[in-house]
Amino acid sequence: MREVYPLWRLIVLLVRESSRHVGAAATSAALRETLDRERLVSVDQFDRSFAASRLTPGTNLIALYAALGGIVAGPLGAVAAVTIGLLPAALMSIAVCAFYLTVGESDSVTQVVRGASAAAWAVLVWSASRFLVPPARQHLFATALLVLLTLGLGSAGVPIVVLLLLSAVFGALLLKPQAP
Amino acid sequence: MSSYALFLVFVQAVLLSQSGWASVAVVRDALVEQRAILTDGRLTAFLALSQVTPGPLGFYLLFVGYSVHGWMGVLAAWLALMLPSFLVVPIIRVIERQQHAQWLRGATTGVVVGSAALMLLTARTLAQTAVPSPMHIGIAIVAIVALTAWRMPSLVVVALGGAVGLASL
Repeated sequence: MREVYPLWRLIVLLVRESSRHVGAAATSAALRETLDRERLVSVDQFDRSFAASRLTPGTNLIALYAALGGIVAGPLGAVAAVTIGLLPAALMSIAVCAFYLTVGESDSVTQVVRGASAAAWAVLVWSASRFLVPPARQHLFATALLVLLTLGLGSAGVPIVVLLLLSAVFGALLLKPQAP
Repeated sequence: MSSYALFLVFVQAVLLSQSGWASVAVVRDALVEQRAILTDGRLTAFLALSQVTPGPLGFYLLFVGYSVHGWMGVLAAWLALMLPSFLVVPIIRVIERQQHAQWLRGATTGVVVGSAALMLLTARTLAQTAVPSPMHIGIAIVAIVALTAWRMPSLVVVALGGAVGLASL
């Protein structure tokens, strides 16, 4: 049983990771490793929070923060994690937006955004791999099969919430942790 | 349009979506089609910005709020983004009571894998616009190396990608 640190340590890490990363995928992947390394929230607790955040309405990262804060310090922790944990990232993003609105559309701005978008695309791919490696180590075939099924059904237009519920059922049947 | 009315639009958009950008349709319908206080071009630009700035993609609502109503619009968007997230708190409490159940651990792993697959699906959908040229493919490859081998924060990687884009002008 991992020891749970105070709420303030969690918030410091939430602030740090949300300010250093772009997008929910990268932030979540980084947090999963950081919180486990810092012995704040176990990988299992993080995965449960991540899964719950994916199945609730709204922005997944914000719900993930609420879940992590709730695990550490109940409802007050959830409020603190959401409001404080993402505030610096929000302010930084608004500053960029304000600059963009001031400068307006130009070739320079367009080229910067295109270059940044290419890198952000790579971040998305990298983030996916960070989540796939641990389960693939234990269940390579089942993980690959679930990925292919999700890609296929997702391409066919199956709603995200249905895909995630099917993934949960698949995981309950075929991705249970192996005995040590 | 009052900031309270803007807040209601944002809340509706967030509650009816399952991820950051899924709320775009509601926002577009309310602000572009019905009220014409936002243009498609500006909305598209905000979506692009949300990909390259810190925080989740859903933060594009902050940009919309700022554009439409200044800091009151940002506050409206902030509250609309935050409030629905607390729905997860009672859910996680129920889940934590079952934490030792093997089926639950498998189910959460399944959702994690499914989510990662959805990330790859999104990447495939965005590939044509995000990496349209050999230069952009090169940026993406170097970015993956930087993230994997040098463990660079993604914000730095994206900023460097933007710098390369500017240098190519």
